[in-house]
Amino acid sequence: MHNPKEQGIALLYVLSILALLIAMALAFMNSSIFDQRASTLNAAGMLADQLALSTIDQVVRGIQDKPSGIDSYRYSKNSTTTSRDGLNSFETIDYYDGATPVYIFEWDSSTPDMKDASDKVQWNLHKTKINDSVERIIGRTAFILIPPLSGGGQINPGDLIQEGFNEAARPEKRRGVLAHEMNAMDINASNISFTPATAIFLNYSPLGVMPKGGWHSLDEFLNAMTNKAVISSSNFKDAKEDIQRLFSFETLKSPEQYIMKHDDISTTYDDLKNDQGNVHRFYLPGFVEQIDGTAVDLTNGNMNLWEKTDSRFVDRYILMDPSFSNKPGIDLLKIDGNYRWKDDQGAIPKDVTDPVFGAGIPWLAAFGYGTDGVENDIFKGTFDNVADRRRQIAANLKDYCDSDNSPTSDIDPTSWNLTTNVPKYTGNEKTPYLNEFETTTAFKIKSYANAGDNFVEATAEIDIKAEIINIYQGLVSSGATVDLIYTISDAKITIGWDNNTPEVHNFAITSTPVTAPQYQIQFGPWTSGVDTGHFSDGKNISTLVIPPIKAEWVSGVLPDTGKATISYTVVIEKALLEYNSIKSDYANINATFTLSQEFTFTVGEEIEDAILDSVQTEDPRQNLNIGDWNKEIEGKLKAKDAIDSNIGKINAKSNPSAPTIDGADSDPGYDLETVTTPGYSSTSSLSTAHIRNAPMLSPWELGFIHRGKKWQTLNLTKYNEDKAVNAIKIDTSYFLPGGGLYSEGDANILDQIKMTQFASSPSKINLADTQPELLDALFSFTDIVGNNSISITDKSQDVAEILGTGTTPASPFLNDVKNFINTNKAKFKTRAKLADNTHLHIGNTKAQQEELIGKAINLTEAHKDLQNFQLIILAQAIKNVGTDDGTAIARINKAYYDSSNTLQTKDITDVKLGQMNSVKKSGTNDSPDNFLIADEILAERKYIVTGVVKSNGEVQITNIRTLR
Amino acid sequence: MINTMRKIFIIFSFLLFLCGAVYSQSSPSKKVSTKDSPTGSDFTRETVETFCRNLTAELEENQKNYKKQSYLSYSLHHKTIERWLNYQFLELDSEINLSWFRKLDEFIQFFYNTKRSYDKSSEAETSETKTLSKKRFDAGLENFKKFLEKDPPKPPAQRLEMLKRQKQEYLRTKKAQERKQSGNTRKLFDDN
Repeated sequence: MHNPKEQGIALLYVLSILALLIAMALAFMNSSIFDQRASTLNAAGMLADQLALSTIDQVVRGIQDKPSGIDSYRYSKNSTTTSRDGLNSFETIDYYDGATPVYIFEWDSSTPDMKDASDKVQWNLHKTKINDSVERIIGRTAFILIPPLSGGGQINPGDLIQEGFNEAARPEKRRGVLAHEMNAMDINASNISFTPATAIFLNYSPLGVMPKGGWHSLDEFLNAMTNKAVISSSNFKDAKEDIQRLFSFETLKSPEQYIMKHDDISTTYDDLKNDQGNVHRFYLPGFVEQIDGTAVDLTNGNMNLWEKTDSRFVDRYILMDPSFSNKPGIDLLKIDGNYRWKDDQGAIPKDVTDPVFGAGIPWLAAFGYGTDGVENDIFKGTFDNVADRRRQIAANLKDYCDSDNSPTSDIDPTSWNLTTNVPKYTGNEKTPYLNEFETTTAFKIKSYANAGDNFVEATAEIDIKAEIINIYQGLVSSGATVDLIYTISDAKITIGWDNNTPEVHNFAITSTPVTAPQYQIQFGPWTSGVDTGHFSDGKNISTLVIPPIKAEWVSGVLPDTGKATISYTVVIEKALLEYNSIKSDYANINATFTLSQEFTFTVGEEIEDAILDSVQTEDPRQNLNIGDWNKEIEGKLKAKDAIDSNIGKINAKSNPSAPTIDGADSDPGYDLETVTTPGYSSTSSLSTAHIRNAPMLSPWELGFIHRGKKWQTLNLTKYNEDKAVNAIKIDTSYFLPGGGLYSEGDANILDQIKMTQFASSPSKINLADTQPELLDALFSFTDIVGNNSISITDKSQDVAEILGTGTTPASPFLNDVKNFINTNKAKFKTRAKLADNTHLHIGNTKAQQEELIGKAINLTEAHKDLQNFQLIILAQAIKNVGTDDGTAIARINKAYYDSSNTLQTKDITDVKLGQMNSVKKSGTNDSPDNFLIADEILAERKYIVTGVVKSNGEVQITNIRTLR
Repeated sequence: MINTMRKIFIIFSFLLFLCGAVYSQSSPSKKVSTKDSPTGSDFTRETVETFCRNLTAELEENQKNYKKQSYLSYSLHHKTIERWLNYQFLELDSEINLSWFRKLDEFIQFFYNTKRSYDKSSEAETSETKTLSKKRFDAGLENFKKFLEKDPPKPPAQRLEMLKRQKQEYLRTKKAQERKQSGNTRKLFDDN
């Protein structure tokens, strides 16, 4: 039944099946293990990805909220992390054309920012709890945030180019409007620079190689410059570093906004994104400019703000006081949302009511308000109150920019008169100004003997003289008339021989009576005075001739002496100047002269002289108020006292270079001038005596705006940091402080104005974080004060006047300027701090000293944010080593190869969960290479993220690349 | 024809009337002249010559010291001449024709205006106004001296006779009135 040969076959079958099963089981097990391993690795990889992405979120959030500034987020820090193993993986190299290495982050770099990051970056540990008392590390991350190489401040090279112009031919005519007024050839970087032969390539195609719409990326620019041999292969790496450091290829624009901060105002991202306290700058040129070449209609008040005929223009459009409350009437926090800054994406404003024009100028609106939010009465000057003075300044600005010569005033100038409609402020127009009035009483007393009798006779003439002054180029006096209202009372000569009854002879006034004893008189035409720019006219108002008075014998004695007394009271009240039939200047003088001059005569004697009384203003640009006029000569005799009339001459106290300042004056500052008279002559004039009668071409022109106090124009050479961004509370409204002491400067106004009609401008130079080579271009003296004429049809006829003074700077000028900015860059809260750079104050006049500031300021910005950045993130999934109950493993012996490739071992002690278990191979060196870890790295990811920080604090990620 | 002539005559008469009206309007009414000497004492040829000598000296002094204010002197001189011209017996006492005094007054007014424009001017010494003023003054002084060098014209003898009679009559009447006022009786031998 059993074949012995068949015995064991079952066993074989069983074994075979068993082997098969085992093989299948092994295969299955192998597959399972593989799958498990793959799953684990995949999970670890995913974990690393997730950790990397969460780190991106964390960093972005940190930049946005930035409660302690961006510096807190330059690299990851964790004081409890000991191991720095693997961190040198941050080193990131990009390969241009797959061959040339370009460092994005170089671990052993000598670049300070990179070195600082590589020295200090640490791992952040990510843990999970496995029970109540034990945590397990599941991964770790580290990041380094790279501001554009050395910290920002780049400019888009396309923004240096003006379409239709050849950069190589230096087409710049610096006014201080846009970045293209700088020339790329002035950027003297070590490894990338442009000459006329190479700068031509920067132009738009086809003249250059810049594509329409500008450069789109660094690679595109590098390619183009390499193809044109601007960059050689030998210096490619260095050139690229320079280009990255100097240039940005993002489409970021510079926001035209000013910022207000206050302890009560949150500055976190959630609030900032609502644009709280960020307000559109005031568009200084004020007119809608069609960018398609359509002619600018500067005469239309809907298209040119300055041509608006609004009786409360200054309150409504400049002083932010729409309800005419004599103080800023707008809360900058509660301002209509349309006035808060937001990018308009380059939309052309529909008309001047577009909020992008700005709500006004806080610096002027709050003029007189200090950092305590209190209006200080000392700033009222000669006005009744501070509000009127700030209106005067604003009116001066309006009248500088509008085309007419009719002053901006609280009363329409056509309604001004000398009795009832007396204005409280009158803007300065380009006309002659009222400068001086004088009464001259010429007299002659003649006594003589004839045929045994003594006689005295006398005559006298009273004249009133007026003087106007022309401080501006291009004016003539012929179109001017001056009306004066004055009062003269009790004008008489009392004359008689001693012991005789004196006779009283009254002057009969020939002027037009208004309300007795008030008279009106008109002056003109004019004759040139002794001093250039001074014109005068005199009118006789009364002539009195006293016929011979015979001396009568008294007690047998014939008197041979007698007395004559000339007396009157004259009040020079108000004057009004019309220029070319437009009422253009008003003076409320109210100077009273009371005269009672007694003269003793002796027979045979003749006395001929003239009594002078004069009232003069000092700075004719501010001559409206009583306090602006001084009685300079009072009851003096021309011959006897050797006092000469000042009519036609420089006023006694009218020296711009040495003005009289009252010792009690709390605001004694004044403009630096070299001239000794405000009168214009062909060879000299006040440096600030300029009225464009057209929209401003340059922020520099703000320095010509009179400040409503003698010899003060807006002072652009000084910045008041305390008033830069910190809000004050005026009653319950948040506002920014305004101008105050002249000596403390007005440069803050430069933060609040813009020269372009859009919400944003092309990139500007960031003074808070800039590159020195860009400053070379910003302050290229040739471009700023060059002699190129600007041809801007319809804007102004005298643009040449802002084209530079030709003042030569001292030789270390540029280095000094750059050193100041570099040294103080941390202090640039706002761009206007540039005004404090005294090295820019070149020249001997106020206008000269402000020129460089005015022509540079609008090409700059100042912010601490990273404009654009690169973020490198390392993320690792970790298998933490240790026991679940938390007890430490005594030691793990770890093998490694030393620097000589010899196998070494090192004990890692006290190994437990919740910590990276590491030991240094030797010494105390914190280099990543010096650490051994017991824990296992399951997966690692390396991300490079590029992004930008918008002005409102929002971060936008532009690219994420996985490098590992 | 006669009608036409009549019309022309009427129109001519009307125009003549208008001219007369306008002329009478523009001519100031003649001041009432005085018969008393403007000097308070006898007015003689010597009075005029002294005046002219003093005036010439004054003009020369002013010419030398032109910058000094002096125009009001001429104002007084002008008033003096006005008073002289207002004296009815000026020609009789001075034996100088009235036209000569008017010419003298024109000179004085010229010097007044010329010097006044200089004295009141606020212009520079080198200005056209002041330079011209000085030149005009110098030329005026030269002419004035030439004017004085010539003998003044005498009044017509017929007029002198008439003035002589008028003056005698006036003095007679005046003395009579004086006597009447003072209560004195008529002298036995009256001079006149």
